[in-house]
Amino acid sequence: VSGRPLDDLFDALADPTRRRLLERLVHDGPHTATQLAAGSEISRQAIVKHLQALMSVDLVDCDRIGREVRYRATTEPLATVVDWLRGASASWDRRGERLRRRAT
Amino acid sequence: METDVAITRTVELDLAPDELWEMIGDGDRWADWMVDTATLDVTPGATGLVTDGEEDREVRIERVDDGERISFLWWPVGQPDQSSSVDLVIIPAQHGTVLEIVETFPNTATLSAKLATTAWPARVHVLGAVRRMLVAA
Repeated sequence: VSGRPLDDLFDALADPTRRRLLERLVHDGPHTATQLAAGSEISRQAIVKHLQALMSVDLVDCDRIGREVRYRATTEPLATVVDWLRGASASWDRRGERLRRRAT
Repeated sequence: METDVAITRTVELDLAPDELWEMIGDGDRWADWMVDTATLDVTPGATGLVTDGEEDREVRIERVDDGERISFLWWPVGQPDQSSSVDLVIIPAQHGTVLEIVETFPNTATLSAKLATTAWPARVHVLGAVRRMLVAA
């Protein structure tokens, strides 16, 4: 994994509205922007913008069904973060083990 | 509240502190354990090159406390924006010596600090999810 997946992810999630939208899609399943805007103080247009930001880091994907666009949460980016952390972490385990072997 | 994104290891070794220091305070000895090849002097401000697996990395020594600690930045060649900092600290123990290793990721740390004041729950959510996945793995 190149770069710092955490950076992009944190950036996309820095906005509380985006976190609420993502949480809702995770907990309640796919929704249209209109459904997400219903009962919300935020306009449908603003919600679409936030959803696009989440889509840019692959936290959200969408499916077009006729004229309807339904947004859904995806979890792959978190797996990417886990891979990155696991790789960096495993490297130090390997170095520590080499050091132990050298020390004996 | 979460702390900065860092990887920490403590390695207990059956070595005297000065023996361990030879392995981290001499750039040539880095190739014995930390990387595959190393060309650098471990003096403050010095730069060098190491190969780590299939990756070539540039290194800049930031701090040297003789016999006790070194701090350096390293990054994939040509990508200084991907730098992380590493602290190696020698801690004398009752039997042998402990090497404390901390690698921190400055860009993420900076962003995390920003998030800590503006939207810290995001960090908690993401790191919490990551930790759960790591634990489950």
